[in-house]
Amino acid sequence: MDLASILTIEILGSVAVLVLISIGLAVVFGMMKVINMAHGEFLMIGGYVAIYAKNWAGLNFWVSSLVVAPLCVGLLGLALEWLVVRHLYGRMIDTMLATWGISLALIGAMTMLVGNTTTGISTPLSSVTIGAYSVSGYGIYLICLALAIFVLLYGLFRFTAFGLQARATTQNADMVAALGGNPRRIYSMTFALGAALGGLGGAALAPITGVIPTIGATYIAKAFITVISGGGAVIAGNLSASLLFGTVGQVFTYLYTPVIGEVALLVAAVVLIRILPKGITGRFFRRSI
Amino acid sequence: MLDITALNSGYGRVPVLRDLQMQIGAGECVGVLGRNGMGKTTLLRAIMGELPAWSGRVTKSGQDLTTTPTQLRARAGIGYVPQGKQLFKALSVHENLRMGCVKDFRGSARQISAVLELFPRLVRLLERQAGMLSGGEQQLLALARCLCGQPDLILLDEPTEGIQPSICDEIIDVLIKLRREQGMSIILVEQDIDFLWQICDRVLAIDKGSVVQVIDPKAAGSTEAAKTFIGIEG
Repeated sequence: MDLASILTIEILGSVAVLVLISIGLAVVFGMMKVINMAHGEFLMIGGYVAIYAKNWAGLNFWVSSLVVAPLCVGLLGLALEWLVVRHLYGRMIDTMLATWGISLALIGAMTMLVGNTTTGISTPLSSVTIGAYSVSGYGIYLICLALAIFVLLYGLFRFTAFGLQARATTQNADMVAALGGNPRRIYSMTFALGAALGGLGGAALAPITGVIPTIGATYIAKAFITVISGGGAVIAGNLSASLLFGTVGQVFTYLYTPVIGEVALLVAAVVLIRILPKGITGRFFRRSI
Repeated sequence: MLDITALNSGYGRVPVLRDLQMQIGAGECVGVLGRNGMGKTTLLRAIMGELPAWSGRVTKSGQDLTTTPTQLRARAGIGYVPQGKQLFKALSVHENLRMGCVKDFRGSARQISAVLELFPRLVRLLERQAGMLSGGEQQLLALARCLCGQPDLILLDEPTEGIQPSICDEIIDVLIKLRREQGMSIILVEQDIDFLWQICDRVLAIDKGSVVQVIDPKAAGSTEAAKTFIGIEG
């Protein structure tokens, strides 16, 4: 029983990590159809902001990671949308190239600023004992954080004026403008929200992964796999794909090795996209957000 | 109300509207007819700002809107019901109506209630997804959504296209009521001459992007004159 509990927590932890690295990308891709190649760098900068806000500015870790990091990266996203991305809407390849350029520039800038070595931060929670086993308390926090993000995002998109406009803009931006709405502002806010979620994810993961300027590259592949496999619905797609891949990856990690777990995750993604080319929500939960 | 002077516009480098002139007064209903490709929809899109004016002027109540973005034209009181309805099909009927109130969400509940009095058929459909409605119900919703924005001028692009006659009658009743009770101005692009003749004060015949004739629906022989402009002989 204890082992089952631990395994369940480990699987949910793996799901939570996938959610944290991909939900910002899912928001930007799902709502704006923009493939943001700089998303991994938003995660990386979120991690650095959290670490430096704690170590240099002396802020509490929770304030650094839950408030300062998403706020700073969200503002960075807002600026990049205003300077670059908004000029390229509707041109998917151009947007990919531009955000790839931003990604390289951010890696170079951070390498110049902080060097090419891993910076770490201690895990703020101790382990939790379950029977004969112990599990990371911070891992349980990440699960709760991922869940809270889903609940808050669902509330935002389902019950607020911004969410209604964002969903309408996704379907028909010209009509939103013809009714008096401002699709450009909605796009800006959505991109900033996606960036802020990236910053939040990067900050949350910093204590368990450390941060290095090139760490975005390790996140971005899994993030893209999760988002594409999830399909068009931001929340239902991300949740279902994260649950599937997190479970597959963690079960194979438990049965064999972490490397086999990674391979199993990628194989599952390839099979899924082969069977469901429009992703999970292209076939199921089509009316969900 | 709306004054269009020597308007030229089109798609890319292809001109469609050529020195088009038209005026519409407060509370007036003006029909627009012509063959396909003559610029009827382009005219409405240019008035709404979805297509740029290459030259000429568009003013409403003295305010120059020629280069004003679409959303600010909507906020200046122009409502638009485009061809094909352009509903947010994944949103519910109620959410579509709320989007009609996007200029001021605070008053949305009151405004939606007022509009639903004009469209009682929509009341029982509020939670249904807009894409699941019939074509006629979708057309009513598109008009209702437009009215939620409290425009004083509405642009209607072929509202009877593919719609059953009973819904057409409902639309006519609503438009007549809006004119009578609210003094609303209407520009109506339509191929259905009977529909136009029931509510329009005058009808502009468009050919190759210009107004070539103004038809008075009450005048003798007006129906025959209109038919020649939409390619129906006799």
